[in-house]
Amino acid sequence: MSGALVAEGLHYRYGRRHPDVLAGLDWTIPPGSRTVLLGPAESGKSTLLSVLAQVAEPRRGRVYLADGGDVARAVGWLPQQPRGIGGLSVEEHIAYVGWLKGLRRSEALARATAQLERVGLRRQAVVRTVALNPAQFARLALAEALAYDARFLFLDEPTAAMDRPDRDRFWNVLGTVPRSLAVVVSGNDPREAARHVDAVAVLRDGKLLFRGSRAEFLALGADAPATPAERRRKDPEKRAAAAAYRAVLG
Amino acid sequence: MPWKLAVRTAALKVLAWILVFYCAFLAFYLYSPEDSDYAVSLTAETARSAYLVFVFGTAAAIRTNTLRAGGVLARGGVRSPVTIVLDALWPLLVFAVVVQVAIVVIGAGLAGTGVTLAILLVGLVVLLAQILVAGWIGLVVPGGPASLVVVVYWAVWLLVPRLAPIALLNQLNGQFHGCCGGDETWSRSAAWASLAVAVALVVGVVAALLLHADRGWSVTAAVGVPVVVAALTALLLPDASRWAASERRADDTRCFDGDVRICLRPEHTDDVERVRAAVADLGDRWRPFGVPVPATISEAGGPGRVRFQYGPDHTRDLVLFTIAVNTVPTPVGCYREPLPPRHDRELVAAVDHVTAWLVGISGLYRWSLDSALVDAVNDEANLAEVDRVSRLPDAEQAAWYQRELAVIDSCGGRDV
Repeated sequence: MSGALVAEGLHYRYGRRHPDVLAGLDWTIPPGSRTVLLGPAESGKSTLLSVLAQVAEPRRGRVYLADGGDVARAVGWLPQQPRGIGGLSVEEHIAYVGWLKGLRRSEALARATAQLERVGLRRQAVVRTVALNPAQFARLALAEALAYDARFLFLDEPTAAMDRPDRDRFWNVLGTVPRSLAVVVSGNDPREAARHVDAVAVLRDGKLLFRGSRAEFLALGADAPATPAERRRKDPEKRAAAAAYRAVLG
Repeated sequence: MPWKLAVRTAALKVLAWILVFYCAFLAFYLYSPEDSDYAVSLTAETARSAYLVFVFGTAAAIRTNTLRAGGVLARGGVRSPVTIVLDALWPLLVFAVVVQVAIVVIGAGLAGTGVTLAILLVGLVVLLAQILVAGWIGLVVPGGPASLVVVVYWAVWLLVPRLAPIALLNQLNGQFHGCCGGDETWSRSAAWASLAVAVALVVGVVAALLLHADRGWSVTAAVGVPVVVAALTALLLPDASRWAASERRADDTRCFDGDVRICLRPEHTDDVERVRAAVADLGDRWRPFGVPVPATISEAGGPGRVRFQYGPDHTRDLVLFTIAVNTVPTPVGCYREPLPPRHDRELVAAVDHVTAWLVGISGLYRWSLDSALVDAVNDEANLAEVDRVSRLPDAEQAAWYQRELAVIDSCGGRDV
């Protein structure tokens, strides 16, 4: 698939005496897609995203762009516990990350200024990044990626520490992001898969148990028996997502 | 809003601190420098990087610690860690060079001397290397402990060898400890040794940054490269690792003819008339006792010349004292063979008597002199004999002097 990000045979472990967190994982992420990566705690979601984002180096396997582009320049990453760079304002932070990704300084600053409005951080332009809350950090990551024309952005459980309004706002902002940027959002709440995304992957023990379109995923839950809690949900899509997730995990 | 990296604000924050330190540094060294008129000595003092490293190194560690805390190297960018760190530290590096050069040049200007460029250049390389090391420490050690590690590193590597010289470390840290008295100049091998270790520190840091993803190899490179180079340097250049000074060329003097030919080091030639006046005064004091002033005196010594000292005190008393002490013949012939014990004692006594007597007739009080220079002038038993002689009439003192010289000459040959 032209322009896709391809992971082939990824193996990763934290030290020689530790078991593999990723064990021969293959995954192709289409350009412009919106994907949610689901999985229980300790399933390897953060590790996988950090390897895809070139932050961690796999023991075996490789990550490449199908069209031969520079992966390091094309990917962005928001860790589970994001940290600001001391002394930098939000605007400077976006520009600095752009510079890290290869932009010239003047160009990086111009692009940073332009993206602040898009993600709703215009008023925070001169605020130090260390003062941002998790919701603002997630939007900061989006602005960074847009500023340096990233093609893939990996957000590690960005909504975990958000309240409902912030979560809704995050997904709304994500909906306005141009399709030139593919976004992968990890989490362990299958209801995230019910809306906002067009692809779903489920990871457990370092292996992808499911990868497919949102429709394919929800279909898995259509025939699955619902739990009492699921039956109380009014939204049929959320109900189907929860049932599908349960079905995939077995 | 102007483009502004955090590093620039960090540099501004430490600016005030640096300037205070800088002024204290200037005041300490430029108003009480040792051998301030000798370019080599003054440059070695003022180009010593240990004090600036404390300030700039800590600032560098704080700066890179901010990068660490922000996970800058864990963002999968396309810039190499070396580029990222240099981008963060270059204002500090440039500022450090400017401050260091300013200290040396201003110091030399106030003292009216030149600058020894080789020492300055070595000092700058050492300074930059130490700042990079501190920056690397800030990158790998978290939070507050980073500054503590930098201070401990600074103290062990740069300060302790100055306070308590350790042979292996003494000169490899590039501080030119003990360089240089008026009769010494900087050691080229010590300079090369310092440069080698400083370059090794830089190479170690660069290698560590390039291997940043692998913590074990990264630390091994940062520590291993300089340790290996320092050990090799200490083995291959053992003297260089111990001494920063070497003997100054004896012919590095300028001579002035007159009743007494006076040879001075270049930095003292402006004071030739002061020295000439002191020598004339000495001649007046010695004439009644039949003691001739040497025909040639020189700060560098040498055959047919009596050595004297003018710096670092630049006083008349120092000139008179050193001429008096060095005018006493050194009877090296007496020590070529075993001598009867009695003869040996007589000889030593004669040398001590004459030394103390000459100092006395030169008008110098023993308590005004540095006893470390010549024990004879402060030895009570010795002075008792000199006191006895000094109460004699001039002619009898002259006769006593000739008898003592005869004892000194008795075992064969003077060497003055």
